[in-house]
Amino acid sequence: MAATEISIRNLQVQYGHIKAVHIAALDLLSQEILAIVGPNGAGKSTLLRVMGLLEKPAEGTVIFQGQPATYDPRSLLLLHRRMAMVFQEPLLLKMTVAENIAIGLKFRRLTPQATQIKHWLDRFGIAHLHNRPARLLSGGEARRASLARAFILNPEILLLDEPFSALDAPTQNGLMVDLKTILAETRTTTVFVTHNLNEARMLADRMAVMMAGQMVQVDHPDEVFSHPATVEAARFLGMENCLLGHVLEKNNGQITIKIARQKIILKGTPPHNKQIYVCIRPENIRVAKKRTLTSTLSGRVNTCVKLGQMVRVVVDCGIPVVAQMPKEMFDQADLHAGDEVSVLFLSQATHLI
Amino acid sequence: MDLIWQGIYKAFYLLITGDPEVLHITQLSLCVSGSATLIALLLGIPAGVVLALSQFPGRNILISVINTGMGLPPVVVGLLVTVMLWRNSLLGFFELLYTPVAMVLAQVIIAFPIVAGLTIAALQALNPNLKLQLVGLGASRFQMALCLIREARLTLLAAVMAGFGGVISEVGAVLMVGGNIKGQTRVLTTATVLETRMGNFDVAIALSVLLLLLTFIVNFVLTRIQQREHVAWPLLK
Repeated sequence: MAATEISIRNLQVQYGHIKAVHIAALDLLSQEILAIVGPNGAGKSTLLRVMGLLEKPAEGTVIFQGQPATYDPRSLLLLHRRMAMVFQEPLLLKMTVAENIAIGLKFRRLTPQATQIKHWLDRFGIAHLHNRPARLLSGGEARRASLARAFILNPEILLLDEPFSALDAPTQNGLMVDLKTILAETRTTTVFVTHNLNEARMLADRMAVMMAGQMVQVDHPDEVFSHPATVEAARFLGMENCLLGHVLEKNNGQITIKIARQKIILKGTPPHNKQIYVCIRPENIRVAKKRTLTSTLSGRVNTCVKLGQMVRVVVDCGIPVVAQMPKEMFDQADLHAGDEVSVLFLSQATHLI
Repeated sequence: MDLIWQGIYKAFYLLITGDPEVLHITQLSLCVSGSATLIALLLGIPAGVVLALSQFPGRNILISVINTGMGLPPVVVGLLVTVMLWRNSLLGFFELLYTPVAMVLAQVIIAFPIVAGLTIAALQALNPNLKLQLVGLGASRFQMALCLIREARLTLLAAVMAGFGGVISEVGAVLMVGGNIKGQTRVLTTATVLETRMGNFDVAIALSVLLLLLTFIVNFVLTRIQQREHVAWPLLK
């Protein structure tokens, strides 16, 4: 089992009377890339600052490589110098790019070597900007410079707060690929905060889902995406349909569920409680002209909205059900607002909470 | 109008001919206000940094006191320093009253809150995450403070200009603690008051022109430094 770099126990961060973060336990394993995801205001950045020992929690312990962190200035400085933090904004200083990249080494009273600076400028594709004042960089270039400034320190733990936010798509993708390559080579233990699920899926070894200051799930990204722990997490992770139902019967791996006065039979193992949520992504729902099947709900098409090559269909089945299908499939189904339709859930893509 | 032209003419005449008294007055003005500004910077910038970056009980009260001090009437400062330096009072045994040292002391009290207040404002105007970023890159508190001062240097130069401008132009405090003694504590502002009282308007205007010229030169140099630092947006060049 991999060693633990940072452990958090019974953490509580409060702003006045508001509990911003409340986490019982979280472990950051050596050489892993942990993505902390969650909606805005979930407490992700606060958690990252606490992990980076930049903010003292109201309660709880941050354990750094087996030793509980103390917050006296001397110990903090030594611990800060073993980590590197990159914020959402590049926060470059009013100096040249090269001087910015060398600043962390200067703080450590190390002499920055020109080759070292050049190496990291090269790795992030900004070698040509070496002497440019940092204030004249574009958003993507500045982000690359801020990452190079952290990597040159060869940190034991790298903390990244929304490293790709506010960048255009090509810049974001390019930077993500470069960062993934560099992280694979350096094997730096990394925590990064994001609300972008694609970033988390592409980069992370494990994903931690935060909702309203609480950690609701920590697992492999595939597991998190297919089996979210709570309804709120399911909605955040793209399972737009979280339909409240009651288990009527369980038989040979089949469950009969009552949803909005209709019965539907699904495959799977339900949780123990009678009241459950049937969670499914819109793209895993098929809508067709009315048929009588046990695994379908009946309803009436409410709206059909074209979104590029996809069509989003909202069906009123007593409760709204959102489906999304390719345009060709939609044309073949010949659906219009007001049509009586059957809504089929792909059983293997259904998650019961 | 003639009087003003006469005054301007007189100013250039005094400058060109190198009138020893005027030169001494100008030199003393520059020395007193320059030293006061320098001392105020040495005290005000660290005080401003500490107040801007720390949290401790009474901090807000101290900041309020400094902000109030930014508008401190020079005559009140003059009165305070006079009382402090009066022969039988607390610091009377130094016998500093009616000396340039007393004038510097009074001007430091005037300039200190201006420098400290503008330093606080300059540092608080920086991105609040910059402080955390520097700590996150391993900066000690001292290294962080130096970096932040460096980042706020354009605004801090404005603090230097405001501090110098505040003291070179004040008359109340230096008049009270210096006594406007010819050849000893007479500076451009007090000399202007005296000449006006005596009805020598041309000399008073000449001294005012010199005072303005002096202030302009110092501010011009500081502005040059400030604007050289300022990087214009490429599109607006």
